[in-house]
Amino acid sequence: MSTLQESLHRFLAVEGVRTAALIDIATGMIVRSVGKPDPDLASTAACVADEARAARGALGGGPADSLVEIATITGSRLQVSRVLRHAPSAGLLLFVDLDRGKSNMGLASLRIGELAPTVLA
Amino acid sequence: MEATSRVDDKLADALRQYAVANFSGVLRVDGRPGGTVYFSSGRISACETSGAPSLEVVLLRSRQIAEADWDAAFSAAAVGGRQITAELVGRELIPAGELEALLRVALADAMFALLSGRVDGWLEAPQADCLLPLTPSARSGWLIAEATRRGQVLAAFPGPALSAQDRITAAPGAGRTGYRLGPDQDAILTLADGRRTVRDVAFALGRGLYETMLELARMRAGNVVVITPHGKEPLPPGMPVSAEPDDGSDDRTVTGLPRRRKDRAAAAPRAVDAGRRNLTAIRMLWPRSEGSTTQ
Amino acid sequence: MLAEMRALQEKVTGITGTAVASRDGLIVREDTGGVDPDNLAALAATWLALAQRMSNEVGQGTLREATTRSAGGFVTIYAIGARAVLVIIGDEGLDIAKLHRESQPALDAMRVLIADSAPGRS
Repeated sequence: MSTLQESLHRFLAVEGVRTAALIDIATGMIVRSVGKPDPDLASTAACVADEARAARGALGGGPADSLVEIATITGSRLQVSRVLRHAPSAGLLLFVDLDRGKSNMGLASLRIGELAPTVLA
Repeated sequence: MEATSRVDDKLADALRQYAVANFSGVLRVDGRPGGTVYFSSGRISACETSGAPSLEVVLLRSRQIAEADWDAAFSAAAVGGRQITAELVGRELIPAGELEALLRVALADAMFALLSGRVDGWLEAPQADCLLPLTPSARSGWLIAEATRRGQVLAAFPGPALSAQDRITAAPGAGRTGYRLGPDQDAILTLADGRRTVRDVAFALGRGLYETMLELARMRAGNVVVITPHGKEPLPPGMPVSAEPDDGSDDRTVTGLPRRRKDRAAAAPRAVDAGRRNLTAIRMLWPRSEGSTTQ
Repeated sequence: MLAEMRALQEKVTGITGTAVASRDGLIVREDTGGVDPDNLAALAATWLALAQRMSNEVGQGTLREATTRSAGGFVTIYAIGARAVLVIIGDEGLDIAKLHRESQPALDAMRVLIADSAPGRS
């Protein structure tokens, strides 16, 4: 297993996580993904990358104000996009898709925050 | 006519077959840009092409790794018989996970450049070393699917399909419209001098070919750049139209060749662009050290 | 001449600029988009002369080309006959193999152009 695959795999142990993926923001490509096979993941990834770019554009500001995370909540799902890198091009983000019914959102968020720095280590 | 948003089917099929056959070796692909694909047990560990910047170019241009540190790692790896990738991680110049991620991104970009360009044919060759192998290597199916996806995204933009060989010029009045430019688009506009192709801009920026094409597709849609399709080449402004002296003097060099007209009036249009050219000079990787400007 | 230079730039991926200089270091044609043509010509002529002397010194016969490879790209020079130098500037992705293949026909064409441009001079 690759270093990336191993570190992404740890997210599957968080209750409610369906998929976890590393996404390249400039291209919208899925660099690596783990979890339930999802035929929509590729288009979701491209959208998520666009959202991160749009959010950055809207934020403007200096380094202290750079985008950290976007959380999207629906009736049944929680999706978290966490920026791991801002460079060398547009950077990389961690995308985690959770089933709301199966997870404690607060705990899940906390755990994702703890695991995020290990993904690119 | 070169394929642009479509993936070369023959090469894609061949790549799938080499995967099934657990091929180990190298494919030398002839075409534009063409390139070399490194296979290891049916999986692809690297692709080298003149059509997309390597990870080395991306890391050095963005100054994520200093050139001196890269050179030191390269030498140490060569001396010690190690891969430079291991050396970079060992020297803590880049973490292992990030290196793997960036290698995957660079590989996808190189394969996209190869598959969406013109493919004239390919030859098998024995396994060879490459500078920056991806470990674990990637499935050709995944790389083909990603290249196809990219072509579809680009094809969704209005207007004729963008090609990596198209030349780019800043649109007249660009930047003075209400359309707000980000820093990336600003940088591209500085480089859009009518000489550079889409691919050249990617290299000059140290960014991937596809992400550069994506940005340019957006900029064209916003009427910020003008695309000169490959094959139609007007002379950019500022080029001397004729090098013959027009004052009747014998303006030849000692060896008998006509000297370029020293009359700097021909360069006057360039002086108008001096601001932009100075910006271009700033973007040179290693600016000239004597302090004199280019003009 | 410019057409030949442009054609070569068209055929080979990664060429960012071309120039032709006389052997005595004066610029004849340039298409480099910002490199100082006078400095370039002077350096190219000097470098060609040195490279040919080096070839001669080590007994390696006729110089084919001389290249510098730097962090940001390549510069290659070729003799055009006995009277001129062709300078090719390329970025990190210069397709060197293709350059070597395509440069010969371009050099032959340029040699003819230069011979035509100075009738009566040796």
